[in-house]
Amino acid sequence: MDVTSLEARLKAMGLDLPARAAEWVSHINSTAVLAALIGGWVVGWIWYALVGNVWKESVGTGKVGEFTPRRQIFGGIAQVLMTIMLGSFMVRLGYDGWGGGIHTAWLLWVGFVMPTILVNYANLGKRLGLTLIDGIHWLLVLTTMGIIIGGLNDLGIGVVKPVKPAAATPAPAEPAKTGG
Amino acid sequence: MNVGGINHLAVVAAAVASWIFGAIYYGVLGAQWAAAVGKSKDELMPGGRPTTATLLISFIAQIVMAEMLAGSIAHLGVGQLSVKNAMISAAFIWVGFVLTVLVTTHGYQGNKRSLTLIDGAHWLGVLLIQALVVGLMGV
Repeated sequence: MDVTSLEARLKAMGLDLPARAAEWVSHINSTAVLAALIGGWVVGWIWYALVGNVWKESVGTGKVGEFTPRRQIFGGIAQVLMTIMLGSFMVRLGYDGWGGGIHTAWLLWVGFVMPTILVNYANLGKRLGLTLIDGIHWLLVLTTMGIIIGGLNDLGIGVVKPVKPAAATPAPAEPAKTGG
Repeated sequence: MNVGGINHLAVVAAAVASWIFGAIYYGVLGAQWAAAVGKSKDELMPGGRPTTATLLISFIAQIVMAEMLAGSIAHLGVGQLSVKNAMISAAFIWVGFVLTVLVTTHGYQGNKRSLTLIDGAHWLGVLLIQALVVGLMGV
């Protein structure tokens, strides 16, 4: 496929994806992402350390729950994406501080995470216990991420850096004030 | 998210459309889905069709999803509501909160990649259809 022509066609449709993606990425604060990622990971680790045996019984046998490098890499990428999207949503919804972070996290959990898990596990005939364990895990992870992102935001370290207004036209020079 | 100010007719229409899409999707890919789960179709769906409880859970979940999607789209800002913007929002939500959850939970449960792919594509379809309906009908 000719990438250049595809890019031109997307641009013509008003979807300048590479430029928009690059601009979007440039506004992401890696410190905040890393802090929220570590927080989410620690909470997830503690949760499954507590309920791991019940979880394993509910899932079944096989390579269940093994920390293979592949799973850890994919899990890590997933949580980075989740952190960035959570931070972006806080900006869009206008929520600030750790309270705003919790609010956003819970809305996203109720609206998108839990419906996904509920439907998929129901289709697969999984036990309700498994739905609850995994559902609560994501609630804890998102809440922790929300608190960290919101708290850091208060310190001026937002996941999404504020976009500076473009200085396209120079401001007209102020008329010199005369003393009086 | 101002849930009170949402166009509930658009939400219900979006949920109905995405639910019908899901029924067709799993109807067509039923054999591949069962193979990806590693069970026979009879084991997964005794009687050859999903249980009423499963269908009900799916519909209620998609109502909740459509409500939140509409709420999120409503926050795009004045004059920003369009089918294109609604669908871009839906795609971002899918990447951030659906695909991430599926990849992680399916991974640790030892499920096949094909299951993540089939279920993930279903949710992308659901969210894009809901965004299309909400974008057309307004929030």
